[in-house]
Amino acid sequence: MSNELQRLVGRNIFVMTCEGRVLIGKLRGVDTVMNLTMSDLRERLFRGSGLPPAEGAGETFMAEPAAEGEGVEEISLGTMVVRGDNVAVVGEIDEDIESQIDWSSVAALPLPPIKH
Amino acid sequence: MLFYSFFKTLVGKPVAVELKNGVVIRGDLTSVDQFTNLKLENIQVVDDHLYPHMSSVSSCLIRGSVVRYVHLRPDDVDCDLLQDATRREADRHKQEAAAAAASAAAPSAGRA
Amino acid sequence: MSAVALSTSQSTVAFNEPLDLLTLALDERVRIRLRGGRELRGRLQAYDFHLNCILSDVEETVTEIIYSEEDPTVVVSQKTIKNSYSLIYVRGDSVVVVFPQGAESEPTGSVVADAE
Repeated sequence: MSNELQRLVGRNIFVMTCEGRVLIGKLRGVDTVMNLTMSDLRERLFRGSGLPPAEGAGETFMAEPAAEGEGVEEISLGTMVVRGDNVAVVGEIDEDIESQIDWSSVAALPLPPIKH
Repeated sequence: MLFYSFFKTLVGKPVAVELKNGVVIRGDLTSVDQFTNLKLENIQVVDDHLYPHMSSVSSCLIRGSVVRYVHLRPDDVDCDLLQDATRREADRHKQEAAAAAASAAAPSAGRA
Repeated sequence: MSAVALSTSQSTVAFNEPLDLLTLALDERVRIRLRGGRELRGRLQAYDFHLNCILSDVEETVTEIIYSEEDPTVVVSQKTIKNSYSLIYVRGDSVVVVFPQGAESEPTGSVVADAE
């Protein structure tokens, strides 16, 4: 399976971590335990204002057009190694679709963390 | 190895993988490894208005350990074959355990 | 001596291991308790020694309990959601208990009531 990831080296990838964080960056290297070296790494912060699940108790929240301060924020993290244990999903980004999305206008709640 | 073999028979078929955080990803299964990491293509997140996070992702690799369920189409699965394979796997597992127990018992018996 | 040891180990192997019970439950309806207040009832089609399973005609019950913030022993609210699936693979690391022949027994209702 690491050759599946090897194929993505040099490409822009999406990573969902077990904490529910979303990381975007260029994949530089992988190993057998799915440790990822990434450069130009950015964390996408989803800051939608839907009530937190504890209060909303499972209500569904539409991703409304972002209100002031609710759009996605990106934080640059430079080059990093992401430990394989904390990786939940690695995705290949379709650059055509990516270039059409204005993330600053997207409002959504952060992804829930993976609970084992 | 039973489920590794099982998922290999589903390559090319549509599945929906439910993660342990509730996100459900639909897609066509393209590969699987011995950790049951799953690779999906043409993916679509169910409830993508709630989870737009992956909307620019076309294919993805899901770590086996974060999977809660994999939803399957009954037509893609031969349940009788599965039950037989399960019995065979259980037998094989027992025989291996018996062989290990026998080889562990043999040296001490030799000394006695 | 070694013959005795061998026959003992073989008789142990014959029908005493926990998972032997599951061989009998193949093609029968079972009840499976999972982490996170989830419970499944369905027909067991396959399993392995990690307790990965395949179930058909599944009914899932998710019980969500919200405890008081001041006193975490007090239940503020509890709700159950039911889903049905025709065929699912269940990852074994979420499985807590498997009840063979348990599918037709009384529903437990709440995780709390069950723990008492």
